[in-house]
Amino acid sequence: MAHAASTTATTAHDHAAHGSSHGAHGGGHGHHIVPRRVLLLVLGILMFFTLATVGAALAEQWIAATFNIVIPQWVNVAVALSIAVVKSIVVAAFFMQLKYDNPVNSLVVVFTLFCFAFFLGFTMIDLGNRGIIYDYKGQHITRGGTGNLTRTIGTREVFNKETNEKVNEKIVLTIPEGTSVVAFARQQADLKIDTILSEAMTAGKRPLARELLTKTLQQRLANVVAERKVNDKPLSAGVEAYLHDNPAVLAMAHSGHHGGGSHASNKNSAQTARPVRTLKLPGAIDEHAGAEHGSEKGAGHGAGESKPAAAGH
Amino acid sequence: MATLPADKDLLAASAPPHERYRAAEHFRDRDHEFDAVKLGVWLFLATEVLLFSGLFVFYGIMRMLYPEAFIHGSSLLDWRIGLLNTIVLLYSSYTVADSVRCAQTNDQAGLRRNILITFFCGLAFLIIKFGFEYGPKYADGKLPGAFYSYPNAVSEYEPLWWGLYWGATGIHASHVIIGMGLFIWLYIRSLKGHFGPKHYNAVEGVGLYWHIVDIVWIFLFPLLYLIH
Amino acid sequence: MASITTGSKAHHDDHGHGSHHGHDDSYLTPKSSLWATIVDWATTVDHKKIGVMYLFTILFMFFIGGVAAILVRLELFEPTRTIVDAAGATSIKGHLLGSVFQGGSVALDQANNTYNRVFTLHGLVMVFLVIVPSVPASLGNFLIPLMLGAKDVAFPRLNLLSWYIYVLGSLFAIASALAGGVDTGWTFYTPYSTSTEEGHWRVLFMIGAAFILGFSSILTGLNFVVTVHKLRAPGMGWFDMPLFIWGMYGTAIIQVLATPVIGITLLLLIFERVFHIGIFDPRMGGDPVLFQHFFWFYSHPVVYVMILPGMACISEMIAVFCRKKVFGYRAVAFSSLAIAGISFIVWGHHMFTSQGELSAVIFSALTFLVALPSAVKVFNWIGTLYGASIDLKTPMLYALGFLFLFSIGGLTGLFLGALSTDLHLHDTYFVVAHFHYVMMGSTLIAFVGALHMYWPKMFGKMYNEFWGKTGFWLVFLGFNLTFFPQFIMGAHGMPRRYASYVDEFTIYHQLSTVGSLVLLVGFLVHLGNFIHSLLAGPKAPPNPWGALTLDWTDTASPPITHNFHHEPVVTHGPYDFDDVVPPQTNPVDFPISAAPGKGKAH
Repeated sequence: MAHAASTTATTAHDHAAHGSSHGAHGGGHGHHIVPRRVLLLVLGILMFFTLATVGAALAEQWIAATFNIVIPQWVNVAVALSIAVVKSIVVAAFFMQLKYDNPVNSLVVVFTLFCFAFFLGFTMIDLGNRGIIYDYKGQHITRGGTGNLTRTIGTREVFNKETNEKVNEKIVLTIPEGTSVVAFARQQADLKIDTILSEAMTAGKRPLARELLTKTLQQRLANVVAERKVNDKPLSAGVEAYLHDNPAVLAMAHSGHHGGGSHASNKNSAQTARPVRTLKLPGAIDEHAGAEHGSEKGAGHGAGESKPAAAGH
Repeated sequence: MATLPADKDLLAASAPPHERYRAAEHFRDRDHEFDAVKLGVWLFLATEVLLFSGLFVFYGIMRMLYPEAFIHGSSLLDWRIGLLNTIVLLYSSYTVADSVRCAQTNDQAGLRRNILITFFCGLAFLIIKFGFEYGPKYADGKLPGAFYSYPNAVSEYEPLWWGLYWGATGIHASHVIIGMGLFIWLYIRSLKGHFGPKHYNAVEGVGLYWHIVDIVWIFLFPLLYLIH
Repeated sequence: MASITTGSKAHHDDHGHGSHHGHDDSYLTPKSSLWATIVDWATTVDHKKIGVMYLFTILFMFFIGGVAAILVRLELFEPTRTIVDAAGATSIKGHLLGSVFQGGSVALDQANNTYNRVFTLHGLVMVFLVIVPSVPASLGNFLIPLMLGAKDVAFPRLNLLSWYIYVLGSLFAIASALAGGVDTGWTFYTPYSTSTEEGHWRVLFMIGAAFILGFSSILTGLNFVVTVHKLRAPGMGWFDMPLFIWGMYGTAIIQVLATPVIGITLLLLIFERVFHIGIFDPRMGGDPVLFQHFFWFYSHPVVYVMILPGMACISEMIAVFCRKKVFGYRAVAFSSLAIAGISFIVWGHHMFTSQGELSAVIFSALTFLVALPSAVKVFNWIGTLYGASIDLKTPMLYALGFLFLFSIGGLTGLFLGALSTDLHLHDTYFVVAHFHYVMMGSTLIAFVGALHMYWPKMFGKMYNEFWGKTGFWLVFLGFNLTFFPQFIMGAHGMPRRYASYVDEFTIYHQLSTVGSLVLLVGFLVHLGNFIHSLLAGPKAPPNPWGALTLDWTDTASPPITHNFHHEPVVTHGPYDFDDVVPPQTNPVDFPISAAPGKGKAH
């Protein structure tokens, strides 16, 4: 790496200037050594705040459930994000040494955050106010569009009995028009439950084992049962037999516990969740989506759906 | 000193590489180079933050529009796994910061130990992520968009939540994997004695990168697991 | 630590007799064999060679994008666009596009698709592969270290990497184009780009190409910011930097801060297309307009990545060929930063017709802010021209052309920034004409002008002034002939991106097509002039224009491998023509007689 032509006095190959000062503390702000004590302290602070943010989230749920009060959603969001901001500042200041560093590096961070703020802020201004639209400009809008969802989602090997060889077959997922992905998932699951249970019945496999259905499918079955009970609709023989043999699933249906979550946030969320957002337009999607899935939602979710959105929402 | 090779540095060849290190010739000296590298790394981190900003905007917008989908989706994640992963990453952030300190104080053994611990923390993070989160969720059909097949949604828009979950954690995990590759590289170089008080640009740079991966997770953790 | 205190004497001595031969040679000096030369260039970390490699790849891409542009213009020569017109006669243009892209005659749908693919290719190549990297990656790479008095950019290996990434991205784009191209438009608007079943892989490749090119842009920008911060020569404060550097610095900041967003945008677009995650799909609750927000958050700032380097070049040209201190140096310098800053808060004006009304009003108001720093620049340049002894060399002609065209482009931008007018003009040829006046009429004009100015420095050969000026007039007239009629027909309602149109617009389209051919001839004249210069041009002196910046005063033409014999020390401002007489190098070319300057070097 040696190079020529550095013979003049004005050149700045100043190893002399820095060569001897390169010890532990040499070199100014670029080489600050943060003592291990400080690093450990910072780690401790970070761990504390991590536990604090989890604790705050759990405490809030507990308070809401125990004293039956509604805590506004923004409290939860504000607490969690404030703690995250504090943690990041600590990491940036000490672990990343911004506190001791050339200020220009902090400037880079500040500009970056400005850009992010503009990005988030303006986009939210737009998408949050899309509902503000003059009625006379409105037309019939079907939320979710009307296009078919047909996608090749991969290939699988299929054994062709006639030619005795394996061939690759495209897996095509077709979700019919007007059906959302979620509704489609429910239909598929119901189909699966029916198939499994009726096959088990025909094979005379009674009593039906609980493991016949996965936990996810049991939950779905419980939801369907709860919904049928509300609407007084009959259940198939296979389902009746299954529920008879597996009272736990039936209990799930009665408890109205919805979803397979690890903690029950539904009570809280059902009360505080804002209504489903709709455009303030004549003939908006509510009939469309509501007719198809409204009852399913209603079963487990109670109030809070299909209300027209407040302006400025 | 007369026996010094003319094209080497001022130090004997027996000195460890980090002491013989000389800055690239367009820099005045090592400090000058160190400052430039650090500014460069910070600018790179700015690009990383803005890369993730797209995902945070995704989160912000969609949560604003469909809070019930996000609340229910969040309730399907186990905060205990998220907490465990947070602790793992925070600890690795500490070890990385400590490895910079070790390089600055010429504690070679400590440097190698810290780099290795950080690497294994990254590995632990991925094992927890894939083993306890991705695997079961894949089996449940809690997948993004058109692949979604989990029947117990409360909202029509839960596939979006899972799209965000997989997208954000996936891109974050890919950063963890890249970071682990960098730590292997650092470890090999540290074995060769490349880092010391006069030259630890790479440790510092990779360390800063790892911290930003950590900071992204510091935000993802409450956003995904705790906000209900 | 004690062992290091040997002192610097030995160090300098080492350099003294460790002297390699060849360090005083020009950076263009070939190696012993052709193969060695190729390897040397392919592995070089020399910013000058990387700049030159960028220059030639960009010019090649410019050729591809230009061919696509000419095809588009030829297609639009007549209002009907079918192969078989009403009378049953076969038209030329159907065959032309058909034979180029489809191999023979084509059905109507295919021909329409072909048109869509050609204009998409034109847009993609010109934006991502030509204009964004044009000045920064070629001239910027070459000149920034020279102007700062540095030996190289801060991270030379990253610099080389950025070139390879650029080539990789270009290969992706070319592969997609050769496989049939995409018809999404360069903006990749959803839902079309996520749902079009045709050419699934081609679309993914094209998106991938743009994604990859982003990294090249980021690395270039990152390198420049650090170089400007850390590698200024002793004595060069922030306000002793040439204005070219200020412009490039603003550009680099935008590149670093905006480009990652296009990265995540295109990544989400790929996710949407492959995994269908739903973010841009209204069926799952996503929003196609959200894609437009994501896209323009990058692509509006990047408009200034395109124009700021042009402005940077113009500042140099005007100062040097007016032989005058730039009027309001600090205003011009800060306006570069102001443009960079404002660029991040006005992206919504690209989507007035698709976004909600509240944000449209906000964005419209903010958009007018951009006019301020742009106008500051233009007025300061005009102030510099006032009372100067202007030397009308080719670069200066280009600088004046820039002022003219940029004023038209900028002022028509105000029409488009006003919400109510834009609703009428949105997606018409008025918009096409506006951004071509800015992108091509300003940026590319500045690029070509700066190429003339720095050609002697880059290759050590003078170009022919007569043919340079001839080329300028052809380009200038051809450009205006091409794009001015588009303002008129756009205001009359001609929509963009259509292959056929009503008869009323025929005359404008035909003028436009003729203009594009004149433009083509102009560029060919320049090409011939440059080739002739390389082969048989007179040798260039170190400082043919009598400039005062370090790239002219302190190094040879072409520069030596290490840029400077010894690190320059700056003792005067970049435009102190009143106080400092530049080193006189070529009395014939140099109109002002002067004694040798108070030499720093040599």
